[in-house]
Parts: sequence; C-alpha cells; structure tokens
Amino acid sequence: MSKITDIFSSASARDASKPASSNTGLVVFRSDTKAIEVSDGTSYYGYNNDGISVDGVTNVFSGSFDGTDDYIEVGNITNLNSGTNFTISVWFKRPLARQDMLLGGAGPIATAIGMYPWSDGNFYVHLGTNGLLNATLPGENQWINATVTYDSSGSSILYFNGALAATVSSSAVSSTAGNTFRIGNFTADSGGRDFLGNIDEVSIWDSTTLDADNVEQIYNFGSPINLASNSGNYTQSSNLTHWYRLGDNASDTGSGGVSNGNTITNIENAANPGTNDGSTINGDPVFSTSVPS
Amino acid sequence: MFLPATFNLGVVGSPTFTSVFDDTLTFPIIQVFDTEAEFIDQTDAPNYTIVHAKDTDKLYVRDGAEWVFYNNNI
Repeated sequence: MSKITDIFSSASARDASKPASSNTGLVVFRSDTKAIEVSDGTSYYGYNNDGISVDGVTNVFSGSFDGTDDYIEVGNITNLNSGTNFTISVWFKRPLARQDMLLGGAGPIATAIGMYPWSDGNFYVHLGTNGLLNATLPGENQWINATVTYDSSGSSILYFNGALAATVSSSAVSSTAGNTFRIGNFTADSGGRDFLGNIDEVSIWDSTTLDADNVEQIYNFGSPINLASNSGNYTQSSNLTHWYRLGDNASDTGSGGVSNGNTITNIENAANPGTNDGSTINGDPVFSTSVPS
Repeated sequence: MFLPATFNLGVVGSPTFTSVFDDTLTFPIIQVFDTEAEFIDQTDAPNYTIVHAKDTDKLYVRDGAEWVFYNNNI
C-alpha cells in the first residue's frame, strides 16, 4: 500500500519539520488544505484538490409511497413561514414520469414552498412562485438528489445531483408556507397527486442558504452523507434543523418493526428529535431497502 | 612515391548521454485501479494511501473518512 508519509496540518508545521531548502523533491500532504505539495528546493508548491468523496452514512431504508394516498406530515416548520434563507434537500426515485407531488407546505399555492417532478419530465419548485424554478430531470427510475437553496434578497437555485440546474431571482414566500409540511405530498396542492416511488434523506436547513460546495458534498457522488457532522466541503451541520431518514433513525418505527415492506408508523426528525416528527401518516407508506448508494 | 592520403575518420560511437533523471531517488509505486468504484466505498484504506483510477484519470488520497481527489489536467 503506497502512502504519503509526511503529513502536516499547517505551513509552519511543515517548514519547522521539513524545510523546503533541505527537502528538494519531498511530497507532502496538507491535512488543513487537503493539498499535495512538492518542494523545489526553495519553496513548496501546492496542488489543490478538486473534490472530496466522503464515506457515506449508513443508509438501509427509504420510504416507499404508493401514489394514491400515502404521505407523511411533519407539522409546522415555522422558520419557513415568510422565510428569508433556507435549503431543502431530498433524494427520490420514481418509476415513471407522472404528476407527482414530492414535498411541500401549506398554501396559498401561489406563494407556497413545494417540490415536484412532473409528467413532462421536468422538476418544478414553488418558492414564492408557481414553479418558475424548474429544470429537466436527469432521468426516470433512478435516484436523484434535488436540493433547492433560497435567499429572499438574492436567488433561488435548484441543483440536481450536486450540480446547478436552474436559478431565478427569489420571490417572497407566504407566512404559512412552512405549515403542515408533508413528505410525499404538497399540502398547498389540491390535485391529490401523491408521490409514487421512493423518498429518502429529506433534510432542511430552515434558516441557512447553503452554497454550491456544500450542496455538491451533500450529493457526495451519489452516496448520502451524515448531515449531522461536517465532512469534506459540508460545513453546515450546526444549521441542520430537520432530517428525515425514513427508517435509518433509531427512533423510526414501523408496523412490526422497521423492515422492508413494513408500514411506516413514525419517522423522527434526526436533527432535533422530538420536534416535527412525522407521526401523522396518511395511507400506508412502507419502508423499502431501495436506497441511493 | 605516391602515398595515399590518410584520413583520420575517428570513431562515431554512441554519444555520451547522461539522464536528467536521478535514479537514486525512489517514490512509491501507487496502486492503479481500473475503476473508481472498486475502492471508493471501501473504508479500510490506511490514512494517506494514494491511488489512481483509470476510468476517471484522477489521483486519490485517503484522509480519515474521505477520499480527496485531484483531477488530471493534461
């Protein structure tokens, strides 16, 4: 196994131990910048990294929704009401293109917060506008991470799988947009278009607009990360307010236990246990072992 | 008396060639994988292991619970 053996947490530590002048050609790794550096006999020259793949979080289950009447309501996410800065991230996989409501809060519809893949193969986001933020999905019948970031005085941005998909100037969201927030349904929508497929790792930073580096790390090359701990370029664990793991939180419960095919009876908010848990279940969504990986 | 001219043609041999590369220096041979997928989910690599993947043409360094990568820019 080939390893780099000279590791330094700062330039000063490196220079104190292995000054460039007496270590021509030495290759070192900087644990603070995660750069590779080489001494040319006078100075060290750095090669910055181009990304970080973090070990994924243990993820065995997702939620499976039947497209008929299944959804989970997690109560009022009050900081989203008239929110100024927030981020919502979700992984989903649907078998085919149809009118599906993925998640969202209360109306009025024109100024609500909601996300939904549609029958035309596009993905739409309500963030104070009627689906003005939208982009073509990467495909169907595959796990996709969709993340939206909102800055009321700037832009609303949609990312697919960590990459920028669309951006618009933000519009104000309503004072009730975070109420009766649902997974598998968009409360403000009256069309009864419950989601068909799998949903996992629904996460909300209700007062923070994540930047592109954080969003890219959340995607993590298709392997969800532990959002409760900073790693790689993800630095916002302290601002995570809601995290629904759909079967992978120890306090999640199912009829007959948490197991593939068992009906979901409660999902706990892993970011703040005991608050905004998804104990209101409509229909009979089940745990599934289909997960992003 | 005619004396044929003589010519000192010298010897045209291999030119003296000194490599610019110092073969007394060694650097570890690093492991090359056909695909990133072969190792990216493995968590047992010792810290600061350095590897290459042929499908991505990237260099990877293991740092704790992360693989830090460097793109090929050529």
